[in-house]
Amino acid sequence: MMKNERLLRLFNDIDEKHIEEAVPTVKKARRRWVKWAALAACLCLILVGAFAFGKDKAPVLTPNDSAASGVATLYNDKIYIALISLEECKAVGLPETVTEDVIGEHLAFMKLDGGVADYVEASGETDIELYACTVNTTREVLILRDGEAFWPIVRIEK
Amino acid sequence: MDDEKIIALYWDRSEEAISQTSEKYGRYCRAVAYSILKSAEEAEECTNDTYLRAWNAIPPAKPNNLRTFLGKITRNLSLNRWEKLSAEKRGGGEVSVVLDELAECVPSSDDTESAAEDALIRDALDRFLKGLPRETRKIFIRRYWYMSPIKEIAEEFGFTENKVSVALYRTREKLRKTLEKEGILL
Repeated sequence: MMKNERLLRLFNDIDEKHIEEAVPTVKKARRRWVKWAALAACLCLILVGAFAFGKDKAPVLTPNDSAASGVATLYNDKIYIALISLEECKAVGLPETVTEDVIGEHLAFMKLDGGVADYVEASGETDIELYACTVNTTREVLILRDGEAFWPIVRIEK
Repeated sequence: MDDEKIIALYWDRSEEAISQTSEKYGRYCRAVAYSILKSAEEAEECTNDTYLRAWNAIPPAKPNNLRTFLGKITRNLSLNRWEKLSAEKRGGGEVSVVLDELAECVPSSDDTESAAEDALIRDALDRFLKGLPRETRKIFIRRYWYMSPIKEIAEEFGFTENKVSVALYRTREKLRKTLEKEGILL
């Protein structure tokens, strides 16, 4: 018998403990089942979440934010102030629930300023952005994003 | 059913012994055989032969660990079958690759074989394995006792195939040195 075959054969009689320790687990079949079950569970959660919260979805935009009270933005030589109540939003024709679809194209990056306005145009890229508004409003409205907070801002005559 | 109860059935010469064995360890034996023979039919045959061998061996045998008792029989029968099959058609399959790998562990020697030497080699193997870190030992046994493909081992342990190959290579080197040091010539 070839030497390596003999080694392979003799390997048969090693201590049972070692053979038992290395028993292949039927993990593959079980794993697949678990993966699918987890996927299904996630899908259910997503569906339930969407259904339960879809209607009363918290607005992406935050018009009721008093922190935005009186915040002024200077853009293209025009001044805008933040709409901070739902009444004000409705008054210009914004929907009651303000969501992502209201956000239009990116117009400019903004920065904080201490002068005439609180926000002015920035020369480089910042985490403050100005967007157009997709809704046909009665007055000129833009959307301002500062980090995670969104505010509709309405133009005022100087 | 408890191993003890199954073994009792063998001792009672009850035919239920086989069906209980098959239910509990059939899949395990087929897996061991399949790794070697890569054919479901051949694996099934070897497994059935295993039951027969077990029936003839128990009594007087009273295995402590029924699973490995059966596993060893299956592995042996499968290797026999593999030899026969490969004599008819040259090479291929996991066993060829495994044999090639093991050839590295074999220190040079003359051709005499003896039962006494066999016992020495078995002893040396046991001591060698005991001295390995647990994960390394498990990988080594999966490869050279169970003859699992490297890909399967890598998946099960969550390692890359490369890591498994390297671990095996290093361990084979270690085995070769151990056998040389103990003056074991295969």
